[in-house]
Amino acid sequence: MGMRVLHVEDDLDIQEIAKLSLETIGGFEILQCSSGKQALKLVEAFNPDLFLFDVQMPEMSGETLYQEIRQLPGLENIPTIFMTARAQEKDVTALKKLGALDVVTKPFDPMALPEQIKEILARQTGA
Amino acid sequence: MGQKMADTFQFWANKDTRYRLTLLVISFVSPAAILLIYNILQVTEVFTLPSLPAVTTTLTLILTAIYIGCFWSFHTYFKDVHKEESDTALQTEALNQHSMVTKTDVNSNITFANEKFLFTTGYKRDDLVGKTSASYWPDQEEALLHEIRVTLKMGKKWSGNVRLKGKNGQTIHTHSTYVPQMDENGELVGSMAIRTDITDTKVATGDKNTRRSLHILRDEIYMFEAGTLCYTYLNQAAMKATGWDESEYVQKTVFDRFMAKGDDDNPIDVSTFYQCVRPLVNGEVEEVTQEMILNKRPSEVKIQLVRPDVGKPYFMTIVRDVSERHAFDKAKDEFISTVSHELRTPLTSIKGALGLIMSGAFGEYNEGTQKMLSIASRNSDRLTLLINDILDLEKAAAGRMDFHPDAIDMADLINNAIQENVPYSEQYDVSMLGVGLEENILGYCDRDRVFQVMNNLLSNAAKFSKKGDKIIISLEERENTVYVSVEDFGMGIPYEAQATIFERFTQADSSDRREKGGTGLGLSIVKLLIEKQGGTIDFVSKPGKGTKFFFELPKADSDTSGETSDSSLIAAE
Repeated sequence: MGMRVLHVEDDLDIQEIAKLSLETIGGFEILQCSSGKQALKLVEAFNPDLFLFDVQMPEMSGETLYQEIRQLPGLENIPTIFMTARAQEKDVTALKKLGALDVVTKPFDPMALPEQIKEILARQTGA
Repeated sequence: MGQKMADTFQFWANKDTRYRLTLLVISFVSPAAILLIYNILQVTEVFTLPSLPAVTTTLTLILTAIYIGCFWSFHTYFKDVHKEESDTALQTEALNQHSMVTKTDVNSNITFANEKFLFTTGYKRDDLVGKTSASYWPDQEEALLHEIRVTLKMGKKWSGNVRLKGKNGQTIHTHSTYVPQMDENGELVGSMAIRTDITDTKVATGDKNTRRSLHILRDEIYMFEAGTLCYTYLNQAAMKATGWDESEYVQKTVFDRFMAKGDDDNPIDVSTFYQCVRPLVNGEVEEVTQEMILNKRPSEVKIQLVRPDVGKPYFMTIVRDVSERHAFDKAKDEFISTVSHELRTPLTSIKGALGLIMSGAFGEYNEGTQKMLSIASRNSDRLTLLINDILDLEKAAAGRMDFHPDAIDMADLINNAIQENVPYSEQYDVSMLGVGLEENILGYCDRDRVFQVMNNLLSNAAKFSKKGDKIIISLEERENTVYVSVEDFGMGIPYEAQATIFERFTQADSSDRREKGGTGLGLSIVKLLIEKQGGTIDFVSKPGKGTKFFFELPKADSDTSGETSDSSLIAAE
């Protein structure tokens, strides 16, 4: 079975497209949540290999979710990639500083997304 | 002997002496003369004369009367002369006390300068006498000097305001009257200038007017002496901020407002202050600006060192509350960021969905569907490009775009850009040729930003070329710059559109935007990107013949090549 990805995204259309992209094209096993709260509830049972978080979400932002999820035992070192439409230089730098492996900018190409994620992970393993 | 004569003359020249001697002569000579006449008359016996005692008594009475009469009339006359003389002396004294007086000969050489002139200007008599009057004329007043000389030559006097140059280069404002001295033939032989020093009045009037304007400004204005750092002036806003009135602030120094220790509101200490104003004192800059928190509000503090013509140098500090500006900048940033997010989120879905369908993930579709999907896809790409361009432009214009300049091999950069645009060359069937792309021509610029510029120019050139055309990209090393041009032989830019081609949302023809897929922002961005890196960009174009865009960027010095140092990481502001 493929890599287990926890995808948190409040926009349901984008969820749908990402699901198709990651599951159908990329062959990942994916759990999608619409909010940080929901993600915090389900994360331990899912036992993910990778977090894929949207940044701007109501109630709890991607950054806050990231910080809270890393407090949970066993999840301190799970690689995290953010997906954001707010991708100005300073935003990307701030996210990387927070601990993100990388940032995927929206709009993303669903056909290329799985490959893009694999490259990011390979770069990290290689480093 | 000569000396003795001169002394005698001097003695006689005194009117007082003349007056006393005349009386003396009358006293002695008159009785003797009368007695002589009496004797002659007696001897000739023409008349029968009275007895001598009677004559003597009568004569004595007459003589006394004459003597008293002479004394009185002489006294009255000499009193007037005396008064006149002392009046003239008084006038001369008053003139010397009040006015700066100089005399010059016909060649404008100084023959005399009074004490007041020497005192006010700082010159010594030897500095001036025998020298030309140009010594104390400022260079820029030459025309006025000429005007005065011409007026005097015509035998007329001249009055007006004149600036003089003091010994230490200071400016002295005077109101002057020049009086010509003519000889009997009406030829100018010299002139006298009488001047009133009006410098203080002038400065005070100027100061008063300036201060009246400063007083009502919203910004806080503080003036303090450069030596003592004591306040000499606070405007209304500054008095309100400090709570000091006019009698209070004159007892305070700059330390009381900006440098009180242990107060978070006043973050500058003494050494920081001196460090801050050193470039002003050394004359390296005209103004230093620093942001600090004052009265719990973000404030911009500008300091200038004023060196007036007259009086002591002083610092002028302008404190502006920038909290509103900061809030506005923040709001604008957030707005742009939000717009970018809000627009991109639906685009993500549209582009994603279209991409998945077009990749065949949901099976085959007919030609009509294919055509419609292409239109939808192309336009969602355009929308993405437009959003990116607007954000880029906004960032560059606001100076928030970071530039990381380094020594860049321009030929390598251009070759890469040509490579990147191969899809365009193929799409429009043009060939891109590099000229003079030699190695080691190093520009000092941000590689990514110049790459962005090249991409834009190359894709434009391809879009506006005819099928089979060439596009020539050339590189030249110039004295201080590197020169790059992109030339196409396509449709060219109509003359009426050339003036505004770098402005936002202008394309030569609005139908171009639809046909060629541009946003109308590309060239505005290109111009900003080049200019923010200290370069210039321009073009020449002939409708129907083609267009050549060319830009120049600073050349990298041999010692700036290599690794980028931290200090070279500058934000382009």
